[in-house]
Amino acid sequence: MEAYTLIVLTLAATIRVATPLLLAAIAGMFSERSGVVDLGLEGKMLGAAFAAAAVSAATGSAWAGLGAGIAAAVMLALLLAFATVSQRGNQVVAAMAINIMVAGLGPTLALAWFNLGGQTPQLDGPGQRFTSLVWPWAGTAAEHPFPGLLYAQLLSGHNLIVYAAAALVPVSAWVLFRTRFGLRLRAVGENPHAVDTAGISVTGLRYQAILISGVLCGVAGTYLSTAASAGFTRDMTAGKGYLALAALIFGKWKPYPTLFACLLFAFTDALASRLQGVALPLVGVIPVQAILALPYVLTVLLLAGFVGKATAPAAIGVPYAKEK
Amino acid sequence: MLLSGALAGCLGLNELLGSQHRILIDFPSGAGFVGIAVALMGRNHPVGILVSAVLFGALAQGGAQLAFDMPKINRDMVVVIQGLVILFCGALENVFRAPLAKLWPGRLARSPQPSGGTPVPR
Repeated sequence: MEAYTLIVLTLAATIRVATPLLLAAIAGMFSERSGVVDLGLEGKMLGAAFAAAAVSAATGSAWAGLGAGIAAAVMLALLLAFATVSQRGNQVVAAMAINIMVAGLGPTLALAWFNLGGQTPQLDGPGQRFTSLVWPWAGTAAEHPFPGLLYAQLLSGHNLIVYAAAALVPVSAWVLFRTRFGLRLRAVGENPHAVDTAGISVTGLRYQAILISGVLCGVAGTYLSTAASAGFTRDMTAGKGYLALAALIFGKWKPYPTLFACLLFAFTDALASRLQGVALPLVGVIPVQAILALPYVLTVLLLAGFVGKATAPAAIGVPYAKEK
Repeated sequence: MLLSGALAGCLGLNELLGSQHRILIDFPSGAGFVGIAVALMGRNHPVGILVSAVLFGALAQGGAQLAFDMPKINRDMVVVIQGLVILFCGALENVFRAPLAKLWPGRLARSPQPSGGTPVPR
């Protein structure tokens, strides 16, 4: 009984941790399917997290924060698109530049505006954060272990962004594989010359893909600072953008396998926070540092051993120059 | 890959045995990530990497000194400047390449300079 409750709570934590990963990974999927390496996920998320927390703290509205987060991430995405698509710069360099710049810009602006040592104020007012939605009868259902607890903890009790992220997986699968836009997007990542020959703008398609990536990163960053925690702190993305990229590769640039990969990474993370200070049978208490390393060790093992052959979009990382 | 690992190990060795003499949490403090940027800025050429490494070293150390002397300036601003330098020299090189190539006909067009990227007008 005790173990059952623990498992359900760990799974619920998995869902919460997986949400920003999933949003960022889907964002990366759109960008990479169009042939642009998206190492800038980290920077876009961090920028969005700062903008969302700052605007939410100033206006008292989480929705204004969401708008600001998306706007900030879209601006960074536009900068990335200008550098990589219009100017045909190196995609990795441009993304690293944005990541490094945002890592410094967030704390600098936070210090200048709020004077709290590089953080935004705690978001504790009503409506400043996206709070958990409790579904009908969740309270009564929780008293019955099965399936009531599953309903109360896994289905109910998350915030709006979690449900939006879950809905995003089938939507993005439909957009990528069932619409004309998706077909063109995949084509431009595989063979931009063919797309250009067909009379479709390679630049336009890549801009659209990068903008979609910006919007989704904005939502992911807003989730981090106004839903998962209450405010922006220095380096709060903590490598989630890179982890999302790993999940994307593990999921072979497909929506449902990427969802699975994100859940797996999130599960190791949730497990790590559950296992701290717990005495396991046979081994006893594992040191905290070893547990904290667990998600990364698992990631390395999974990516090295089980990913199989991951085929990236053929034109990824190559700037497209129209032939004259 | 093995050589890369060996060289990366030298960084840790230098920091631990040369400077700190003990293990601190996060002692490389992002040197690995800045290293990627340094390699990219140096166009993966040993001489270029030396030049851009000196530039980034100067930025980091100069920033620390400035932050120490002037309370209004903090280390995060130095990070922003590093990001901007990489952005303009590394990612937006093509913006400046054509006008610069016009200034020195024949030189930039023949081979890209192995220095730390093109100069940035500010």
